[in-house]
Amino acid sequence: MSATSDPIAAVGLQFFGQVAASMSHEIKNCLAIINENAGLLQDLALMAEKGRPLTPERLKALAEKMVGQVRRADTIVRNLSRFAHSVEEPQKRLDIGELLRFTAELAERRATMKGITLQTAPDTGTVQATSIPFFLENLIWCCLDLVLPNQGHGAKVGIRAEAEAEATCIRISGLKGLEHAAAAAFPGPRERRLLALLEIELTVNPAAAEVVLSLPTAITAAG
Amino acid sequence: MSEKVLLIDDEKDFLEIMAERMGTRGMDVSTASSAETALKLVDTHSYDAIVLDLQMPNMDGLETLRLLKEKRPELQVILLTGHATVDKGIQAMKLGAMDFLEKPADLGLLTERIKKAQAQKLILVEKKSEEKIRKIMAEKAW
Repeated sequence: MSATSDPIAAVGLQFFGQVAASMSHEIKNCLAIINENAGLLQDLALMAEKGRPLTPERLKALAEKMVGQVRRADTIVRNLSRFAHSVEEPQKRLDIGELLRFTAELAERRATMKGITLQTAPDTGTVQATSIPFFLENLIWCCLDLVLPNQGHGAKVGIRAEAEAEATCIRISGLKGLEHAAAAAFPGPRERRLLALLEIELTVNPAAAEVVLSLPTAITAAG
Repeated sequence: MSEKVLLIDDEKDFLEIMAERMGTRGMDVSTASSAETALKLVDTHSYDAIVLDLQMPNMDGLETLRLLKEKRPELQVILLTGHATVDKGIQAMKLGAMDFLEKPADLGLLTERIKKAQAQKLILVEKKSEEKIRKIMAEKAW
């Protein structure tokens, strides 16, 4: 496979790599904290052998911290597993709100690194469309990739789904610097491939400070 | 002489526990959960070693390293990263990092590097003092 022989697969692989790298870094952070907590337990045991008292409360507090980090790592691995399995999923009926929440979780670390909060709407299950989950996640990721660098520390970016008459809309809102995005030839080749595959119309609207993806209720091409 | 260390990492749980473990090993440890806080601390305090996370919100580790070395060229900075690559290592060394370790780091190894950092800093400070004295003597040649 190469970018010329299978361009959509190349786009997907790049996306997969970026998400996997981000999640592996987070897991490393969890492991580092668990490692140090285990090391501290060893230190305290050595000190106890030398006569320094060790309180049950101290041990409980350490155990709780380790459990907390294990839970955190487990959530990350669960998301990674779901993400990895989404590569195999064909075109299917999707709860778009739920997909947006999942994609925001995947992108959360990237946003946090820039001091940005991603805000999604609560679960209603009412906005649905038929699409290819992995590539839709990919397209949303590409849009976030474009807009996040211009938002600045403390910014809040909204991502929500809306059902309209003939289409479902995904709105990424609260965005600064969209004039630069429009000028930067977005969508680029990568995004255009995804838009064509998913039959999505993209609108960059600097006046409304939002990027809008209009999804058909079902895509006509075979998934 | 106990080593004076500044730990910089956005993971507060990690900072807390590392500070405690290093404290029990006789080190005098300060912490900063952001690059901005660290840069302010370096203005008013002197450290034998700085342990700096490579990936942090807003300002990444390499940019922080560059600014730290600009303020205090004699600072000994050890970078910690979740993903150590040759490329990043080279970038870090070019910017003046003393060392580059992957998380989770072995505390014994880190302690050894901190002691080395303290020794290295002492040499640099001594050299600087000698140069100052030489300059004064040259200016006030009797």
